[in-house]
Amino acid sequence: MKKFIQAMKEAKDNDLIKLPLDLALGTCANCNNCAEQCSVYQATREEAYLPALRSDLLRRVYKKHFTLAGKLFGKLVGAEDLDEDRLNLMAESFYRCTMCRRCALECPLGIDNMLITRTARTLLTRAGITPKILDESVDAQLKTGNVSKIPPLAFIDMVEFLEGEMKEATGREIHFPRDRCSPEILLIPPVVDFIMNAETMMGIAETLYAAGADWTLSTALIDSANFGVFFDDDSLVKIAQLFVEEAKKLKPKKVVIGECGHAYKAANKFYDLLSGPFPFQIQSVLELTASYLQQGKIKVNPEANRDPVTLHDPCNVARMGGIVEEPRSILQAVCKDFREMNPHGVENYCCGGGGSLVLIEELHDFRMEVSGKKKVEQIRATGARVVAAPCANCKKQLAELVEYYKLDVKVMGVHDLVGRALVWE
Amino acid sequence: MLTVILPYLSILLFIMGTAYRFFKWSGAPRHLPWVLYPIPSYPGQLQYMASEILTFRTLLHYNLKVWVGSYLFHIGLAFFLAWFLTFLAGWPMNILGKIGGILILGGATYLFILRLISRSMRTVSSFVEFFNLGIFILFTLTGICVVYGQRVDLVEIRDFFLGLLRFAPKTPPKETSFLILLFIAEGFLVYLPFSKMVHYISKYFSYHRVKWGH
Repeated sequence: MKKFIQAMKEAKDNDLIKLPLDLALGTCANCNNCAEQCSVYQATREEAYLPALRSDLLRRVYKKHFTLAGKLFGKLVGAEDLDEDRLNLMAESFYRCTMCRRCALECPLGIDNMLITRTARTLLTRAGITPKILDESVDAQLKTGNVSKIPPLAFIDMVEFLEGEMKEATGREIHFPRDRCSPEILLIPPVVDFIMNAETMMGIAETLYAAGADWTLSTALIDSANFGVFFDDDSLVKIAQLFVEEAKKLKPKKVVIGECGHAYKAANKFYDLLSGPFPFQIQSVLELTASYLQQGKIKVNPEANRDPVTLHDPCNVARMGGIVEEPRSILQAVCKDFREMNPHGVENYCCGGGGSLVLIEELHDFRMEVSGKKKVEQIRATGARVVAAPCANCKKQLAELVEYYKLDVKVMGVHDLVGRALVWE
Repeated sequence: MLTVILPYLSILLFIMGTAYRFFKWSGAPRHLPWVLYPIPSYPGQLQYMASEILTFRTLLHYNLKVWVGSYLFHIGLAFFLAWFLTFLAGWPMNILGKIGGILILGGATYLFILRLISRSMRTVSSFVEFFNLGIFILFTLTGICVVYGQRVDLVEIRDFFLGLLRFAPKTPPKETSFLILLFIAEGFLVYLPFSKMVHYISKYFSYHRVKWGH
């Protein structure tokens, strides 16, 4: 517990979060407007899932140790000390928040419960409490360059296999170029896409080929994921630095992040602050493809995707990344029947697996019954047969929801649909 | 003596406290930009702030129960301040004061009760939330005693405040109800910048530095 308090002291002095954390901890009016936004609370309306209550778990300990009023007046000002029970409650509760930030979107005072969740997770990690999968994945990425510990030769095998598939499907020699120097584009996907969402990767390769793009993969940087985003500044910084270092080596004009939410958000918004400025732009593959369509660099036929399609806006792509129009303009071009969810865009609900919850197997039932419930309602209401989700974690969660609720729906990436609609001249 | 020093001291501490919090936040180091979209253009930001300040838009849309109490309470504050200015100026528009007082008392009491009877509100409320609302309830009730207590001369009260403003302080009316009112106001001024109610400053930073990026 001492480690937790010590870590809290460091957190409040940490430049990277000082201002937002101070505001979030000190000015919440406890009005519960956030509860009306939260997909976790909305599913069951159980008090335990009130965002303000969860944040208070940390806030009260903070007040006790770091504010004069808290030290003097204790419980009267809502200041409480840390004990074993509270620590365990925190460990449970802060891994029930999906870090989707819908609460912050509509808070009248601009309070960010996500930041409190993340800070609490950082403190728990310092106190030795972290979900195993996160520790293992970060370790794997720092040692092998990707969270799934795929060695380079196995990666090349996978890539060549997909190239064979594309040859069969299109009759063309479409490759995943590797380690080319000074390309215009360096593509960095989430590594799990090569295994679980191969059609997305092939769709991207086919799109880049059709557009005549000058691009490459990097065998040293096959994973754009950065799980430090979810729980730990140390890991966040280390992986960011690894990313920038490797990316610089190939001297690309721009780095394009594949269909991954948190990776795009982290790279585009944080990496220059975390590892110094770098000489390339960071773009989402959604922006890239949308621009290809707009400029007429690729031709598509929406008849290839006749089923009704709806779009799930990953939190890190839309609400936190600002990529809202692009996936829509793509889907409108490549699908015959594109339908919006309600709400959509920046107000779309979290898939239920956000904030790394999708990675934690023990949370499966929680994700199905609680955090993912609103998403299922949304999907059903659209009547769509396909949900397009440009984020690897969302794809996993949505696929699990579809299976659990026996929905007659397929989960696909945006580029899966683009690949099917491409017109070869 | 005390009744002369305390007003100046409390106003000074209020100004210093506000400035301290403002500059502490203003001078905060560059943080990781966890921005939230859509990030409005500058006119869009003004429009957003205006609709928030004038209508409490997001509370109105998503949390009507709280909006009723909160909005009426804040409107009451505006009316009360407006009345106070007209009172000092010598052309008191007492109707403003009456409306202000009723709205503040009504709004604060409403929120106080809501925090007791609504389960979700009760769960997130601790003593300090009730205390903050209680200050306003006490202030308005005491104010009613002063205004309708008959024993207090409003002209004398006005002279006292004008004396403070001109730095030529006079002794205040000795009525207990007025002295209590004054004391509550002074205490509140000192407490405000260090309390949770500091959102009159913090809101600017939450939006313009954190949510919408620097």
